[in-house]
Amino acid sequence: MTDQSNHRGADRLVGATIAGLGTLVFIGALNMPTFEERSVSPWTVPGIFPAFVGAVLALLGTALALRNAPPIRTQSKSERPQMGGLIGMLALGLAYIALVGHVPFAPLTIVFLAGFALVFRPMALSGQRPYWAIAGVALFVGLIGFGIPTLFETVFLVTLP
Amino acid sequence: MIEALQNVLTFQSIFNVAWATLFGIMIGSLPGLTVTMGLALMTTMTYAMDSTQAILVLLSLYVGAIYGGSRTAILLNIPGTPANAATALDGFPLARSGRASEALGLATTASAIGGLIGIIFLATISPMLANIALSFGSFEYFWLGVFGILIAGYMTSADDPLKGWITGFLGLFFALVGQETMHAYPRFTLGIPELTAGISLIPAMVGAFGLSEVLATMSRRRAELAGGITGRVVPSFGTIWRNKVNIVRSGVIGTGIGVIPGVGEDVGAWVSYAAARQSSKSPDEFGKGSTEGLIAAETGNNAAISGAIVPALTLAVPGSAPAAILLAAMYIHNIRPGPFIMFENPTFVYEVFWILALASLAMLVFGLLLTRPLLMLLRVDREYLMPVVFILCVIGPYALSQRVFDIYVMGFFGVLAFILRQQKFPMAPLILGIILGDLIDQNFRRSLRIADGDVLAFVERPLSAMFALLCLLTFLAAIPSARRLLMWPWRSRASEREAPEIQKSEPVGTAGSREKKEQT
Repeated sequence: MTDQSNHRGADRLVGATIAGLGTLVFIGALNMPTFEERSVSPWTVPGIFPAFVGAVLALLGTALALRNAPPIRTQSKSERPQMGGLIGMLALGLAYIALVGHVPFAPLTIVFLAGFALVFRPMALSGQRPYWAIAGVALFVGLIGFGIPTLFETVFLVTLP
Repeated sequence: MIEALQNVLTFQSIFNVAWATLFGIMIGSLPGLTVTMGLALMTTMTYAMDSTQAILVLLSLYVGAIYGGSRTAILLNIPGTPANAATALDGFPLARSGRASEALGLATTASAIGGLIGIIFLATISPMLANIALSFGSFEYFWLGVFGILIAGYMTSADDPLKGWITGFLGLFFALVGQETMHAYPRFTLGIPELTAGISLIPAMVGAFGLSEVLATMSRRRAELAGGITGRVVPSFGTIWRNKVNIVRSGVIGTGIGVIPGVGEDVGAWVSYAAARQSSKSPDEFGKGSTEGLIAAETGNNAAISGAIVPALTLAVPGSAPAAILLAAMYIHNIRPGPFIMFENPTFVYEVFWILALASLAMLVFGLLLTRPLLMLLRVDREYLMPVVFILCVIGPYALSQRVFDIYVMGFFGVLAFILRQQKFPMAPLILGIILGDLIDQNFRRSLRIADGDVLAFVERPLSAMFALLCLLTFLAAIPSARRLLMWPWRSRASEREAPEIQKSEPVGTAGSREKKEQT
């Protein structure tokens, strides 16, 4: 599979998704109330503009899915996203977002930072002199984990979740 | 104007300008931190400040960050902000050839001059534009909003405008979510009570520009510095003087591009760069370490800052993504931008000019004096920086509304923006769509009611007809065959001019032509 065919395939998928979303928006807009019982002007009903947006999205998505994609520059190896880093960041980040509000903020942040160090600095932490690396990471985790919540709560007077 | 200067020239203001500009330079210098992200996060930290000081801090950070991005562009070949992408083309080759100090000095000086050119235009254009905007009715506002989406989609994704328009209309769709203003009917809320209030701009922007950037940075390989800084950083007066035409042209282009809704500093830099290359005596050097290219890009992007603030102040329509944050911050701090600002709050408009001038001056001083200390920032490990940025992305939207739901909104927009950015969809039209959605919706329905459904009424007034024509031209310009047709008169004139020159030129192989080739 070349970059160009991958790109074309991705464009088709995104285009079909946008066309589907546009169609749903259009149908949803048509089903919105017209408030005839309130003698509302038919030109101000809530669905009129969403119908326009939905129709345009459906058209643009269809055009993207059906067209011949313009040629793209082939990405060098260094430009391609590294899946390991991406999956690690996504997993940690989404878990953190899901738990905010359910777990006290400062402990959650400390666990997140420690997890981040374990995922992204495993070599440093298991190297020849791991004690210094572990001490450095622990200091960083402690400073940021307590520092940011304290800063927001005391200086900016924000009550954290 | 004098009263505004007196308001700005206080110890507190000068202190705030100094630290905020320096902080902006640091944000711009750190790969993975963009100006929009920095502004969105800083907005959440300005609640306790009075309105003038809050906007002063945000404007100074804006100016500093757009300039700060040139450091990484020159030394790492990674634009610190999208506005510095054109800077990297010539800045990095200059740094690799041992001229990093010269490149950094030129970028600093060009940025400061570009900023000042932009301020002069801001001071002259804003009152005029506000005056014109007073005659805008529903039809004009509707067309202005549509034009903003179309032109932002076209210019931020010039190779593939279709993708720019899709993100623009996607933004309009997100703006429709929640209770509409005319009949209080909740649209597309999917039964989620929190969506009744709509999608807030700050969480969407922090997600689209902050979280998506964290994801992109952590999935990229590390970059390495091009080399150390040796030699003189302050550029010679002669170099700047030789580029006077280039600087003025880039400043004017940058400001003009900045004024166009939603387009912003990156396009300002690219268009200035292209114009400099076109009129250069040595266009072949562009991309290989041309000082002309570097100066044009940096002048253009800093001039665009003032340009982007013009429509934000006078029409309440942002000229760029960072200006959209500024607009949101103005509303948060009880400043009402729009056509009436010159009547209701004229001092504030002039304060903005002076704040920008002070920030440009601070940027010049810090940029030239702190070049070497600022270099240390580029050595900060992303493994330390990115988790901090991520935590700020989570706290920032929450701090504004105290709603955990806004953190989920931020997460949704972060992942969506990351996926779309991987497929080369621009993000600026998405945010512009969210901002303009309500304006277009209300004015569309109001216009239809006024015209009683007569679509021709949308193009009967001169200004609305002009905007409609601009929309049509923008759409046609994206279609290659239509574009060729539109450009035909200029192309035929250009070929007429070139024809006699070709006849006059010496035959290939003569001494004259050899000399020209050698010079090239």
